[in-house]
Amino acid sequence: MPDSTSTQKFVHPIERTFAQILDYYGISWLYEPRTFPLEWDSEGQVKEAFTPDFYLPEQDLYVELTTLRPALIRHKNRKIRLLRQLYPDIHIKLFKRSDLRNMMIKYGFDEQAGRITGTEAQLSKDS
Amino acid sequence: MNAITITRQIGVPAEAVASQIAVRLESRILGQEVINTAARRAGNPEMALSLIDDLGLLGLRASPRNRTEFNRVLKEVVEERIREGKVIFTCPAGCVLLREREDILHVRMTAPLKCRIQVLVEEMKISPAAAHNRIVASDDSRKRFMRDYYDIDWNDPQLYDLVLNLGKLSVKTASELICQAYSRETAPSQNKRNDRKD
Repeated sequence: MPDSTSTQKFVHPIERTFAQILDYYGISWLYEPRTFPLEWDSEGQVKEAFTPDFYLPEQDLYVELTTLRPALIRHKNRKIRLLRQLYPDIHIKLFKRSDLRNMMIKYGFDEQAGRITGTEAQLSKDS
Repeated sequence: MNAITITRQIGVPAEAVASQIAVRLESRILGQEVINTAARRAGNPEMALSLIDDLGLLGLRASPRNRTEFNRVLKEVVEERIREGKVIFTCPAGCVLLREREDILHVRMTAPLKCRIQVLVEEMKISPAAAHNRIVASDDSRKRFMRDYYDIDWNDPQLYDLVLNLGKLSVKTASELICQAYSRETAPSQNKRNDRKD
């Protein structure tokens, strides 16, 4: 059963906007439905894991949104790279800050687009 | 004839026309499901989003190699569905992917801007200004998409067998015209030869 923007609580406003865009196109989505273990310790306990923001069941595609500046995105890229190595059948798309900013401007959310520049954005979405 | 492709613009009530045709001709409507299937089969689910993304909001751009492979698979999936029975294909690329086939009727639906604005205002409960902006954005995005992905001008009437203006024609009339064209072109060849003599 797909999630709904009316009932779903999102960690960051950009996630709500993205979900609204998916709704506009009639694309079903699930919010943070699965966590992927990425690293284990010597006792088999999960040391690091990754939970992509969205899963689109009809496209079988995970989506991750980031508002980090390009210089700070290494950590996120590393997680995605590990995910792809450990789970080669999983497809994931990373939407970067510039993608999201352009998306919001096109969708008419110019004020929100302005808010995902600068350090404020770094702290709220990906911390 | 085995199938109909419908190419339309945002704000043109093509779904209503497709639904009426589907009932009359006992056909299935294929849209996003086929796109999703093809994208998954091609191992490139992002391509599905590219085709669905009418307004170009997601800003997805596929490499030429991925596009070629996806188009090959999409054509394969559509042809499988056609073999299963009569279909109405509403994907924007339908008229291009299947243009070499003689047994497909390619239809384009359009309408004047003010009619399209009115449709969006009623359907989406948005202002006329917002509707106008969405239409402009969608037309522009779709034009670029068809040029970049298929190297065509989707406003070229030569791509279509039938072009209908739903600003003038009702949904009922449009669906009747399409069904008539489909049935006449599906008629035995002798009947068609007689038609040409008239």
